Parts: sequence; structure tokens; C-alpha cells
Amino acid sequence: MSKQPALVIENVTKNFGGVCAVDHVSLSLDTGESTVIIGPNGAGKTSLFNLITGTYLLDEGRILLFGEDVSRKPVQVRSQLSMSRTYQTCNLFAELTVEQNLYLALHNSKWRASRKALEPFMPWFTNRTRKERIDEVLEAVQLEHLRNTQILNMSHGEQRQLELGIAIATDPKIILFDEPMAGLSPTERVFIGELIKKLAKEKIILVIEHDMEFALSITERVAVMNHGKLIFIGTPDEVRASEAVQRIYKLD
Amino acid sequence: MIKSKTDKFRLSGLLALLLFLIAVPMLSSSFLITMMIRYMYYGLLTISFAFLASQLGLFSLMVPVSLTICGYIIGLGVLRWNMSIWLAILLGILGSQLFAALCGVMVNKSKGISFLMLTLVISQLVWALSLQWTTVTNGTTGLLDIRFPEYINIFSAQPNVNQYYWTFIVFVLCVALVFLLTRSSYGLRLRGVRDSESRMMALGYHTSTLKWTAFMIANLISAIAGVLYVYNNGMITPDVMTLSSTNKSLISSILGGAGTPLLGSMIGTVIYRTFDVMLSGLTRRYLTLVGLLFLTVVMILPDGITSVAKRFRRGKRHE
Amino acid sequence: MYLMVILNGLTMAGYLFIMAIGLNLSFGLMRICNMNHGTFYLLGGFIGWSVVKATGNWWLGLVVVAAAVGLIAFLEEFLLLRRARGKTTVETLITLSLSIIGTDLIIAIWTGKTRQIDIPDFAKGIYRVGNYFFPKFNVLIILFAVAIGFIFWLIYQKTKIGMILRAGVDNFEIVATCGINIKRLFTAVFTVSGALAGIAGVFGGTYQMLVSGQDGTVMIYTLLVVIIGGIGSFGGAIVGSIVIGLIYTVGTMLAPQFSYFFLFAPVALVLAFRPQGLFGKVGRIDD
Repeated sequence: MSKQPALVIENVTKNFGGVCAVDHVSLSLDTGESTVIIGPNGAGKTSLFNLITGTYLLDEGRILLFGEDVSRKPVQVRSQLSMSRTYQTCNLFAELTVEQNLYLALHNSKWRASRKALEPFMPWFTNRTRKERIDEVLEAVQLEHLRNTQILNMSHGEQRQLELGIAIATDPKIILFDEPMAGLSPTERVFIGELIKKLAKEKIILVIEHDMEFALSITERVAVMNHGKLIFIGTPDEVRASEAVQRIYKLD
Repeated sequence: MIKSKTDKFRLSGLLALLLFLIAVPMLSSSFLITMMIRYMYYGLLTISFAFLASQLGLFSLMVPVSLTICGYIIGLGVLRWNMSIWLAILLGILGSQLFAALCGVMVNKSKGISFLMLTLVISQLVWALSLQWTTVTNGTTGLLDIRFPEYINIFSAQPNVNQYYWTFIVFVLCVALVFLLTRSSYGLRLRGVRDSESRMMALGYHTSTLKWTAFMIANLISAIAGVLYVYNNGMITPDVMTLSSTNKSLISSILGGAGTPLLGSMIGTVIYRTFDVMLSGLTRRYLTLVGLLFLTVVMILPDGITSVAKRFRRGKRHE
Repeated sequence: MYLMVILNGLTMAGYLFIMAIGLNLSFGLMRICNMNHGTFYLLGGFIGWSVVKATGNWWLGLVVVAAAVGLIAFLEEFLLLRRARGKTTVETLITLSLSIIGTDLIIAIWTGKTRQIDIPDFAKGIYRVGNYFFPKFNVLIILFAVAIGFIFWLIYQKTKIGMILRAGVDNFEIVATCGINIKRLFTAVFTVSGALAGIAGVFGGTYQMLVSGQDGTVMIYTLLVVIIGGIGSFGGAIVGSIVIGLIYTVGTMLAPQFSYFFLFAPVALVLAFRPQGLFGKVGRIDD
């Protein structure tokens, strides 16, 4: 049996009232093929993410996750197929604590307790297995000291760290990062950058990034988008050398 | 279970309150008993509103709908169809839940002010029916003389004491239910939907189911308030369904603080209903005063009166 | 007979449409569910009644009402709503509290008795076409509503402000980047919306009775219009007001008992099959 790549995007197209946000994009990802997407504002990078996760339904083409056609499946079903994402602007549960945020992130995973029927009625803090996993994640993103802090009392950098924590909480096979470095201070960038580089080796990740230098340092595979089209895929060196890419960024 | 001093303090406060509530009839003031009963069933109505407002961030203007439907079904069951009161109550709760289930499907997709608007329309629809479908509802007169059997008077010879205790038991059960729900993982999920529905969906939750069940629970509480209303007043009229009746639970909740579904609701209800009784005796323009009070609270303390205590406590901690 | 019913329906549609334009503006652009829109209507009606009674000049009444209710709307926006900008629920609660106060004060000032504004001399009488009679005043309301509709259509389609208003309903961020002073725009929009509701009150109060407590029902009718037509949709407001006006009058004739109830049937249908309204776009209001 030939093995299907983990994520296959075929001819995916999305129109918004006459504007073609994503125009016949094809891309496939598998283990060891973590990819960074770069491109100017409005190139359709985030729209592509939303199509992959199911936030938008696509107009044309299809998307395969681990060999299963999910083009018409809702967001919930797709996320249960071992895929998670982060958001460009932090999308956290603002009035809940860090611990509660992570608890919610561990839904439908192996950290879920076995007493399924009763679980909705149990106090949320009694679940042992999830608690252990929360400890692990907090350690990974270095937020142990903020465990019981409400999100709205946290700094932007800390919120970014938690975004990452939520994305890795269920230990998914595919993670989509939407500009994980946006608005971070230099020291925060170092920490999150290292974390993402580490993840790029362990998992299949797809990263949208604006900062060229950082983007080209994460992975060995870079995709360039412009006006909804995927115009180039190659190694960082090829991207640096490519004239088409240079032209886009000069115009920007 | 008991972790800290504050928990101990809270627990003893709760016990003291329970003891006081149990002892109220012994003070043998019939005015006090009447008022306490009122606080309790109107309090449930406020809790029904505040449950959705605090857990899901949805402001429902159809709070008394289930109360009304349940009340009318009980009335019709007993007076027209000659059924036993218990069957009528069961039918009333089921009927109002059925209606709520349909409405839930309809309002589920909306949020924010759209939700507010749609629920307002539904509440007006039910009000119009209760007022204009005179062959069934008796119009403005309503359904009168709905009696409960004598054998439930087991607490005392006085009817109002019996009413008090039965209302009290049902009230405590409902409050306990809401308390457990807000503390459970289910409540946490609802608050997750409130803070970010898109994120909840991306995490794999079926948010529409969560919202729908919460809507049903809120309406169940309202229906139970309807049973208590009929039990204590012996009648049901379109008055319970007017816009101003909806406003009253909303104001009570905002007054107490919509963020705290139980404590805030009850404090707000007690303050508002006491005001209501006192002011309407004093001046004919009491609605203006109520409106001004409401406006002041909304402008100055959008999180309600309980937020003052919270702010005070927070301030102390920083010292 | 049926023609007369349709004419009455269209007359009602006329002043509902004037109401709906205002509500649509505040709802679509400012994301406020203005709960005191009906209060503006009733206030306009009663102020109009007082002015017409004192001066005998109906047009003067209309102008005074537009100015007075517009001023009140301006103050409401300027003094209260502005401070809660962005918090849609707080804004809605403010309008709700004002509707409670307004309703009560209207009773305090105008004693709560039922009133009707005298039909002005020029609009008294009827037009006769063959065997059919059309009261002049009904025709006047319809013509006036059409005129206001036309003016707004021109503003929407031909001016920069109109373009911004249309864009703002779809996507609020666009307005912010247009270099427009949003604060002033909102104040202006709310003032105009209030003045329009007041004008509708004068028409409604001349055509029908002014009854205290009517503010709630008129408010609901207008809401139904907006829901059927789709929030923020101009064409939707036209269709919605005609639908509601006709259903109300036909319903009243066929089964007076259920006139109010009948109105909700099309709304339930619309909501079940097109939750965004007939002319609304999907996912527009998601605050």
C-alpha cells in the first residue's frame, strides 16, 4: 500500500465576492517536509490556513488529511484528525486562566478521562491525567508561574507562548502556525523561534511568517504566495536566489 | 475539600443564610414571607437570564417565555382538561422545553445583539398569543384559581408557610443545579464558547450543541419558576410576559452583576423587587426612577453591585 | 374593499419604512439594537400633537418634531452612548433604560390619554378613481415615504458618505481606514435615525391613534421589518415594511384576534430558511 502524505492540498480555490483569495493552490506535506509560507500582505496565506482547518469551505479542489478527503467536513472533525493551529491575533479564552485554557485544549485526546458519560458534570479541576499533561505543556512553554492567571492579565508575549502551548497540547501530528512571532520582543522571539525550530524537526508544521530572515531559518522548504497563487517552492537558498521572489518583496 | 480561610468563611456564611431562610416563617411576618417567596421565584427567573449571560455571554430577552408557557399549560391542564396537577406540571415543563428547543435551533446561530433581537421577537410572540388567543388563554383575565391539593400542606397549618417551604426546597435544588453546572467542566466549556467560539470549534468542540443545551437549561429554570409562580399565585396572566416583566429580570441581573449567576442574581433580585414594592407605593413615576437607577448602574458599574465587593477585595490584596 | 385594505397596508408600510431606515442605520452601522426607537416614534407623535394643537400648522409640527427628537437622539448619543462605544451590550442596555424612562415620562407629560393629530386641511378628503375612494392622507404618507426612500437611495448610491455607510455595514474596519471621523459619523447617523423615527411618529399619529405603550409594539414591528429584510439592507427595508404592513392589515381584517400573531409567521419562516434575512448577507453582524 502506497503511503499517502499527511496533508494534501489539491487545486484549492476560494473566492470572496469576486476577489480570488486563494487561487488553485496545490501543496503536499509529509514527515520531514515542514514548510514556511511567505508572501506579502493579502497574498492569501491566512485564507489558505482557514481553508485547511475548515473555517472557510473551499470553492474548488480538495484537501486530504492522512488520506481522508475532508473538503466538506466541518472544523471539529478536521481538528480531531491530529491537526491544530495558532492564530495571527491571539485567540485565547480571555477570561479563563492559563490552566483552564489548556484543559479545554485537551478535549478529544488521549488525555481525556475514561468516564465519558459523567464527565461533563464533574468539576473541571478533578481530572488527574489531563492535569499531568497540562504540567508538561506548561513546562514546555515556560508558563508554570502563570498557571492560575487570567489571560487578560498577561502580556502579549505570554499570550503568544500560550497559543503555542494550546497548539502542542494534544500532541498533534500537524501544526499550523499563523505568524507566531508577530509583535514579540527580541528576547521572546528567541524563545519562540527555538521552540518552533525544534517542533519543525519533530512534527509536520506549516508556518506563515513575515520576517524573511527568520522564515528562511526555520525549515528547508519555503513556499512563496502572491495574489492567492503559490508561485514558488524551494529551499531557502533557492528562494534567496529567485528573481520572482525578489521582485515581490521589492514592490512591497 | 475546604482549602482556605475564605472557603471556611464562605461555607459558614452559606450555612447561616440557609438557617435564616429556614427560620423565616418562625418570624411570623406574613409580609416578609410573601416577599421572600417572591424573591425566590423571581430570583430563579433572574438566574435563568444570568446563567446564559455569564456562561455564554448571551443576553436573552425571552426569559419569562418558558415561565408563561409552563404556567398556561398547567392552568389549562387543571381547569380545562381536568387532569391532576402533577401531570399538568409535567406537561407544562415538557411543553415549554419543546418550545425552547425549537427556539434554540432558531437563535443558535446568532450572537450579540442579533440574539438579543431574536429573543425579543420570540418573547413578544408569546405575549401576543397569551393576550390575543382569548378562547384559550382568557385574554387579559388570564387563568385563575389554579389550586394545588391540600395534602401537600405538611409543614404547617398556615398556607403561606407551606408555600414558603415548598418554594424554598425547589429554589435550593435549582440553585444547587446551577452551582454544580457552572463549576463543572461543562460550565468551563460554555465559558470557552463565550470567550472564543472559533477557537472552541478549532479545538473540536461542537459549539452549537453546547449553546443549545445551555439555552435549554436556562429555559428549564424559567419553567420551574413558572411552576412556583402558579403555585404561589394560583393564576397566570399575560402580565408575566410583558416587555417590562422581561426588563425586570434583566435589570435585576445587571444590578447584581451579570457575571455572577447566583449571588449577583439574588442580590439584584432582592434589591430590585424591594425597590419595586417600596417605590410603586411612594410615587406614580416609579418607572422613571427604575430607569434612572438602571441607567446609573449600567454607566457606572457595568459589572453590577457585586463587582464593588470584588474590587474592594482585589484592592486589599494588593496592599 | 381589498384595494382599500392594500392601501391601508401600504400606508402602514410607509411609516414603518421610515422607522426601519433609522433602525437599520443604527443597527447595521453602529451595531446598536436601539431599544428606544419606538419611544422616539411615540415622542414624535405626541410632540407633533401638541404643536399642531397649539399652532394648527401640521407642517410646522413635522419640522419641530424632526428637530426636537433629533436633538434628543443627539444628546443620547453624545452624552451616553459615546461613553460605552464598542461595548454593544452596554449600549443596548442604555437604550433600554432610556426607553423605560421615556415611556414613563411620556405618560407623565401627556397624561397617557389616547390622542390623534388632526389631519391637515390639504390632506383631508378623498381621491375618487372610478368606484374606488382613496383617502388623501394615506396617499400623502406613501408619497412621503417614497420620497424619503428616494433621497436615501441617492445618498447611498451617489455620495461618499453613502458609500461609507454601505461599506461600514459590511466591514467596519474599512470605515476606520477611510479617514472619516467615526465619532462624528455615529453621532450624525444616530441623530438622523432619531429624527426619522419622530417624523414617522407624526405620520403614524395622524393616521392612527397615539396610545401610550404603543412604543413597544411599533418597535417590534420595525424590528420585524429589519429582520425580514436583513440587517442593514436598504432594499430589504422596503420589502420588509411592505410585507409587514400588508400582513398586519389583511390579518386584522380576516382575524382581528390574531393580528399581532400573524406578523410572526413570515418572520419564523424567514428565520428558518434565511437566518440573515431576505436581503442580508451571511455573517455580517458578528461582534
